[in-house]
Amino acid sequence: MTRRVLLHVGTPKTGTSYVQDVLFRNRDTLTAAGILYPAERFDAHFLAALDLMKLPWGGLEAEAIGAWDRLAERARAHRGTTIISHEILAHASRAQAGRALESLGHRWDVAPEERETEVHVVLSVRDLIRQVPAEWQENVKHRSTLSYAEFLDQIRDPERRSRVSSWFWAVQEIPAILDRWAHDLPPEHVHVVTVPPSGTAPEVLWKRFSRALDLDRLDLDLTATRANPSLGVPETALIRRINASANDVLVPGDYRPLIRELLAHQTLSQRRGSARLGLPPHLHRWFGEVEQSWVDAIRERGYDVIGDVSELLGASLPAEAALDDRAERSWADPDRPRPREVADAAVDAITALALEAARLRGEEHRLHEELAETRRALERSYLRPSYRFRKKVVRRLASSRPGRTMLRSYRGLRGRNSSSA
Amino acid sequence: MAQADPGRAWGWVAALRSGSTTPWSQWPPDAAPAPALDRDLPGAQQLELLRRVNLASAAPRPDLAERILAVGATGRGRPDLELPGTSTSRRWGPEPTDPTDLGAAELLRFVGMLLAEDLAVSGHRELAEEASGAVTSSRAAATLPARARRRLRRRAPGHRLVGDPWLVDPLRQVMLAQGHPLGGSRSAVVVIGTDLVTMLADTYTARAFDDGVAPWHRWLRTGPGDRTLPPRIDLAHVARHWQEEAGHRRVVVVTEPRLATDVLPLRSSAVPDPDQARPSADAVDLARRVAAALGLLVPRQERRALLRGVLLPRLLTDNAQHPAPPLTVPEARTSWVVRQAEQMRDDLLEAGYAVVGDPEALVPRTTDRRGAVPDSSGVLDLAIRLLLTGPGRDHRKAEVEG
Repeated sequence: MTRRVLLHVGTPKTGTSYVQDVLFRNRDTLTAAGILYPAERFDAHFLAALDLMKLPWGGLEAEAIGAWDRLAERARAHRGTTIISHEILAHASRAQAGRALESLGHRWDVAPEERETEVHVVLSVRDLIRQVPAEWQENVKHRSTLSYAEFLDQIRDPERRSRVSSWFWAVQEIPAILDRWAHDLPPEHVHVVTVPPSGTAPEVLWKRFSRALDLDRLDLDLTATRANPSLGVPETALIRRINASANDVLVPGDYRPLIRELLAHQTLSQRRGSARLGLPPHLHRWFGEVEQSWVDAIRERGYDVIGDVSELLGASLPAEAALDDRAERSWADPDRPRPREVADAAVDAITALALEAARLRGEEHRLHEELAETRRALERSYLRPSYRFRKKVVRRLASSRPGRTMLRSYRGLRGRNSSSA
Repeated sequence: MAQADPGRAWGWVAALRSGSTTPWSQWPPDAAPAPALDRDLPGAQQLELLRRVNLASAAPRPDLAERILAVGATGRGRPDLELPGTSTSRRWGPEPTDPTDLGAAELLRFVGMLLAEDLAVSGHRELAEEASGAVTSSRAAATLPARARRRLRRRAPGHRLVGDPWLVDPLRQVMLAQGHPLGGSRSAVVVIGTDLVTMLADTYTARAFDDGVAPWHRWLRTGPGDRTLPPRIDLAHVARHWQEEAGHRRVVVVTEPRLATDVLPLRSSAVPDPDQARPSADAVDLARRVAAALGLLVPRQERRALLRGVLLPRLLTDNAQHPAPPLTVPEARTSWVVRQAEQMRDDLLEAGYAVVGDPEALVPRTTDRRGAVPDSSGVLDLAIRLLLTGPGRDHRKAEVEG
């Protein structure tokens, strides 16, 4: 056995952005330890995942063409451990997962002990009580106008026919993800990392990832520079309203920096004191039963669980509390946010956009100045006698065949082929 | 339901590879099992698509069968579905599905990628062959001494062609091929349009053969076709814009495409008949699906060239053999379109632009309604015909070896 690939395939909203950021910034340290994190840009594995799954993503897919094959080629060429991580890999179909594993050197048709490449699948998981609202919020941050109630209805549809529903279960249904990615791997090569309950120190989750990715022995810079912060109830409601109003006129290339990054991530996620998104109390039981079946399956299959698998059961309300009217009344419904709170969030949003507009105006002014100065310099150079003389010579040469040959030779020797002398 | 048995399903896969058209639901429970040929069984969608291709094919196509079984869907949607009776412990994932229950729209998610692969693999060769032909003809044109040169030297003001993109783009190509300057500060602005239903369909068609676009109904409901007209075919707005840029006297509005040659330095015989170059409603829908998949395989600039230079001729050839109606707006939208067209006609006449053709031609005649909206079954039939007449393994092999 000479090669090992650690493939972190999800799930979304389980601290994956942080892990990928740490891995990307510590590439050199990892390389020195014989671990390859093959990425020239922080989102390299995201693009590779888009390419593998042939997923359109607001135009980004054009940058992804061939990205998976390039990534796999680097992994195959590395005689050590390679780490690949992106949460949307959870969405891969059986065929796509099979193709990915094969491209990394995995052989499904030989016994594990005879395989030259040892593939480990890592899946980080969090309870549905937190994942359901987080997935809806993620939808909203990707231009969705679907209400929370509609979202909840769709994901509970047993047929799973809607795009929202099929995506949700594709990236969240833990036993099914592991079926697709790891049904032919030994269970000890499947690592399930559980996200600890809210309020646990952040280091706890990193330590679990560190163990799953076999990084405990390394001294890594763990400063967070990228994260995928969450929004409160009025902030999410505001973004959804903006989507409804702006989707037809704002192209994805502008939506990403202005709405998702500037408004959602940099501005609205910084607001404190807003009600947090949660699962409606009357649905705790339904999702709790789903979680219980997953926990049973994980235990039954004998995977390497890092953390405590019972954390997947989340902070479900006791059955009697879930049916209590008081619980339902105290729950903040993002489809009916308090207008005053949304207005407060909107003021912050307008201020942020105004500041950004002012910054861009300043930048525009600076570029105008720069352009004007360039034009003035160009005009000055045209007026110089030496320029006029060279221009005359070029024109004379260009009018005859020998002259043109001379010009071509001169430009070839000079190393560029512009018409300016 | 039969006992869970992947070997039986692999036996069905082997039969489909050999051209079988038997549905899974009629596959004998005691049929001989076959060994697994891959890590996982193909999805119900791929298997049903292969069966439909076998139904339409005169003989087994092993090369195409391999590609169909390996293809993935484009974009978000239902994952690869399992066959009923192939898993013993089906507790997670979507319900297993009888392949014959799958609709055409679901199968089209897979066909789009296959046709896009065809274009990405063999389309470049066809484009290159076409380009070499174009070089020959442009050389021939250059040897017409003097015509092109005189024309260029004459300092003619040139023409700027704007309006319906499906009408304007071919005219631009002919103008350029014949050496006529396009654009320029003193050029005449020729605004070309036709009846508004056709212009809406043309705008959508141009998008479908460019970057891809939402389905026709959704585009009309939520896209540029909703409430306001797409900017390029709002002829009154276009004319007003160019009046401000170039002056009122330089703007000419053509309301009947066949009369465009009256104001352009072209012979009518040199201009392609727009009706002949208009794909059917189903073909437009297929093009948008292929465009979406092709965007995942080739850079954007190549996508348009492949769609218009390779896919469009294939679709038009198919339409000659299997005639299908062109795209039109659903009946419920017609009255809105007529009102918009009447407003456009009135605005143009009121502004006093030079108009070539009958201004009434902008208003669709509701009594003369022809055309259709895309139908998934028709689109799938068309897609399967293209798959079967597309480049096969030999072509692909030649591509690799070449």
